[in-house]
Amino acid sequence: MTELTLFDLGSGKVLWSAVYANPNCCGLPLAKMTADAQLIVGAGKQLHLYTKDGQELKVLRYQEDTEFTLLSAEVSSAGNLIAAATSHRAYLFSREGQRLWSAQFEDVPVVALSGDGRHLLVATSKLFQLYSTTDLKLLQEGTLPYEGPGVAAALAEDGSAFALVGNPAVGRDELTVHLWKNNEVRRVVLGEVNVPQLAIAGSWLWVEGGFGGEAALISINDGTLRRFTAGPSSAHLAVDPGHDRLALARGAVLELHRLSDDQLLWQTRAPGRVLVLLLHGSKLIALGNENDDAALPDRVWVWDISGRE
Amino acid sequence: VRTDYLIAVGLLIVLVLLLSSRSPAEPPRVSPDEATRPDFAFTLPSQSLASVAASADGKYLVLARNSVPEGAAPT
Repeated sequence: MTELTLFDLGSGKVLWSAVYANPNCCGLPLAKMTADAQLIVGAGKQLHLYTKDGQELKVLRYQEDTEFTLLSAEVSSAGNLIAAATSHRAYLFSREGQRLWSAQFEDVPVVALSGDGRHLLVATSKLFQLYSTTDLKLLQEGTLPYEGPGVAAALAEDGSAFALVGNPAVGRDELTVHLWKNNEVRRVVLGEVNVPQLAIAGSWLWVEGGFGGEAALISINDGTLRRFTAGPSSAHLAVDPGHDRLALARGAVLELHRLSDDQLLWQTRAPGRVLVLLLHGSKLIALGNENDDAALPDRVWVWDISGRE
Repeated sequence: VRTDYLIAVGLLIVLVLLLSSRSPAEPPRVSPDEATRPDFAFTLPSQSLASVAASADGKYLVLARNSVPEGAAPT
């Protein structure tokens, strides 16, 4: 089972909680929200669509009863499209519940949806496909050299760039990030990153390990690379180009930098090890654990950073 | 040369060195040992597989949580 909880960080109150079936007991549960919080999507055996006040709008079902969300689910900024992937299928749904597109893959797929909802990226460790969602035409496809099911994908807000990363081939330790822009591919090689995660915001792509390793910030325009070595702890990043901010966590140490010139604006120590970091508006949000050796979180911490300049 | 004069000059040199090592452009820093209490904290019922998403303005946060079954390893 997965428990979904919505918090109002202004008042610090829990607004509502919902529980739904999720056979994926041992993977990360997935929850997404539109930019304005008007639509919240929880993923499990089905996709559950909620309004901000906790009303369940719709349940989106997969083709077969045995399927459930495995590695990814996405919602467009306006909330009109929802993409998700199960063990062997990728899906695109409308908010009204219509299954607009689905495809079967030999390996485990992941999906990424551009914020404007106009592009859908689907990838496995061996291939990728980029679609236009307006006519569901295949715009671009290619092969990938990764091993195993742990591929991650990210699309720019307007679909003009996308990135993919997966586990390296057996016998190779380095992680290669593939970044496409204007039909040209750029390969960025990093060190140890365990269970790689990707995100794109503005003109920045960032990579980090869901379970440890180094983190990196890459310009999608010119490939400029900033690496953040982890030391004994994992490094986690969050980027907010709209406010020119970069947040970095190494162990319990948190730093807030200006994104444009890397100037350190604020530094503090969290109550424990940070495992996930978000930077949205005036809030720096962390999932963490007071035990510095823990790999899974048991705390949510939020700092108001509006005065940290 | 008087000993107290030498000590005074030595102290002055140390003071100048200490002051010159701090760049005036450097922003105010908080020692990593100095914790800043979070403005909001929530304790999960147990160590969990969890993920979060937030609204663009940071006002709303959604938390999805799976309890880890005893003996199961996260994937």
